Amino acid sequence: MDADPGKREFLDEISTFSGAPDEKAAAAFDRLFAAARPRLARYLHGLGFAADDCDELVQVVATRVWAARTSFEARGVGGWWRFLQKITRHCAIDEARKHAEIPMDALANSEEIPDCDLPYLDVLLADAEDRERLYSAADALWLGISHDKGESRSRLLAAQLFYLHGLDWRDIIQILGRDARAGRVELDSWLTDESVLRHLAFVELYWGNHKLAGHVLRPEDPLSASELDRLSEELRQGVLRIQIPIWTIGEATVLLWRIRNGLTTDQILRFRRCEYDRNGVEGIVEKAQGFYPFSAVGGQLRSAYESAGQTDRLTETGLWRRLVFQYFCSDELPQKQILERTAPAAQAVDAKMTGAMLNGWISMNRLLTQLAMFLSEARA
Amino acid sequence: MMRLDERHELSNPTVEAVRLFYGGDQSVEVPVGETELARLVTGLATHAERDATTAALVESRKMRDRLIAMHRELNGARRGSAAGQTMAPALAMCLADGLRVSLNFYTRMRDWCLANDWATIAGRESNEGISARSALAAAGKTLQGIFSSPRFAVVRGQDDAPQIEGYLPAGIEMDFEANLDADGVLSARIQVREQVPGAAQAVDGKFIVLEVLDPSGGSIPILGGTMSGRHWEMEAADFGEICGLTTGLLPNSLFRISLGNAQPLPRGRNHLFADCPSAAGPVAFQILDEPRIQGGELIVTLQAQEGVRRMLAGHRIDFLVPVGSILLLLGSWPIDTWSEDAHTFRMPVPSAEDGAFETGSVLQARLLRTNDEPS
Repeated sequence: MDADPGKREFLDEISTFSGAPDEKAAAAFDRLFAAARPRLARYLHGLGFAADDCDELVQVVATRVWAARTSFEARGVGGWWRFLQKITRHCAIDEARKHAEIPMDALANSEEIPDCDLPYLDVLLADAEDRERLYSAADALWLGISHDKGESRSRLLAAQLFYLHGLDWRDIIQILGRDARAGRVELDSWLTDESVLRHLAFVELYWGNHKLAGHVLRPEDPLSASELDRLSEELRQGVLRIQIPIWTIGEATVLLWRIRNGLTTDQILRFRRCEYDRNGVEGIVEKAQGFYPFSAVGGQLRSAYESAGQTDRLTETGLWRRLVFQYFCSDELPQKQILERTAPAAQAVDAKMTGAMLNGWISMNRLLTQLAMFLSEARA
Repeated sequence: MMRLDERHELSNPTVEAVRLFYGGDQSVEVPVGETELARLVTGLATHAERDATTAALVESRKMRDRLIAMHRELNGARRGSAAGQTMAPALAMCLADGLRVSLNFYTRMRDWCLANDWATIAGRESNEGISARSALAAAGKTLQGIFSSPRFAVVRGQDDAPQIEGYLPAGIEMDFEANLDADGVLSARIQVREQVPGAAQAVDGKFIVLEVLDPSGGSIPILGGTMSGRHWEMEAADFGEICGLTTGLLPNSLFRISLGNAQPLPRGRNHLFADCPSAAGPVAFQILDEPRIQGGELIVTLQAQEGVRRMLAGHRIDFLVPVGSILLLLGSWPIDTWSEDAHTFRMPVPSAEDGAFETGSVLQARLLRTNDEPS
């Protein structure tokens, strides 16, 4: 029996939705569907529907989900999502038949979540409303971090100030506001703690979509997430006020699609606003890769860890699994782009990161299975 | 629950579902600016502010560079070096805020006592609470020096009785006891004895503020509460930890009991006890004029006989004031340049308001060998 009150409440809601009289069921449905609405819209967008059409289509899905409620068996969060996804997919196929521009291939080939996956999905989605929990579990599993977020960050900051900024231990203790004598002992233990060293390496080597796009578009003064939003709008209007001296409007547009949205060359070529052919797009990407920071950051980490005799922390598989998981799950990158962001760093620290390894971790979905098992054991 | 198998291969739709729930770069820009960084380095940040600023710092190398620059400016100020002369406005503002709490320490502590709010001082959830805690620690340091040195065993109060301030009606006597337990909790208890039947009614319901007498002048209100019948009892958690004092009965002569309206104790002619690691205990300097901030300067006039100055040859005197959770060095002079018995020291404190220290120990001094780095 799961003791988590949030999860129990959710299970009660789906039981009410499927089994209670109409009035009560409708109230439960409103709450459940409100939470699912943005995800269904994203699902439809991923199938090729325009953002504006997705909202309308989700409304159609809501009507069909309500109509089908008697056929729904309340079997947990995984089962609920499968029920929603199945109806949404059917709605999408019906809609796509009316519109020639929606590619039917992806829809026709899409499958349903099989029964054997439901226990895994139940575990992975159990805390979905608190997104950070899944990533904290990934930190614990692959980096060995066992402290709460605040404490982990203090340790990480101490390690950054020491290994990357070369600060003296006295200065670090003062900045962290710790007692001088006890602080020295505590700081020494943090700076040699393997999980802190892995955490530091992860934070430095991980460049999410916004951060990398901001850096590549203007390396000397990286653009923030809000500046990227503004840039995106200006590019759409063709009037550029934000300074990005090394890129043209067309190039910057391609880079936002590629780096910020993680799109493949094929997906980029489908956009009407794309003014390049395949070679053109790939040329821009190649030029952008000249600004990728991964080799330099890896080299800096390697030097810092070498002087502390800690280079082994950089080659441990846990660190690279954690990075791949983040790029795969949070940044939703395709395998090729994950390799572009990890292989140069791995090479700089003498670690191994190959396409075959990535294939094993991602295509076989081993990382998610491993995380599901970890979460399940932690709860047990 | 069904047992999961590590060899199980999840299907693509399942993985897509997980990505739909957890995907999307959700990095948010944390609004951390100069003020937040200044609060962090001066120790004025609350726990919540510290967490938020740290979260932003670990993500931004540029912000960490700025933090380090600010820390160096502050250390420059601590050491009286040129680096402290070019201080960021946000840093100067934080220091001025912290100094204000130090100057008005008695009034602030009394207000908390009147509100029965020891928790604000013991906790770290408000900026003023952090500064007050730090000022109390400074006073505790003076007390530690006094307790550890037999020369200063009796600083105030010749008998072991608390000072009583305010009107105490005839026909009653007060028994007082203060104890510090192993967890650092200060328990204070007052029991009224009647010499004349019914006389105790005059104090029933009276508000009492318990203060610790400061050996450097003034007093520090710590607990406030109402007398119930013939009894008054209160506790201050963490008092021992904050003041660095150890378990046991504290001398009653260390306390002042204010009945009714608590007012600052006139400072009178007091001593500044300077911590001196190379001596057996603190060195006492006579304070000739009340230390005060005036026109952007801290002015301190001390007296030391020639023999004392000779004994301290090769030392320097540092003046420090608690600001936030740090002790800020305001000035430093070699004793050798102190040519006459009385000497006035002037230290720049730009942006600070004019005023005198209500509680003496808030101004700290230490004597180090000229070439020693402070620990």
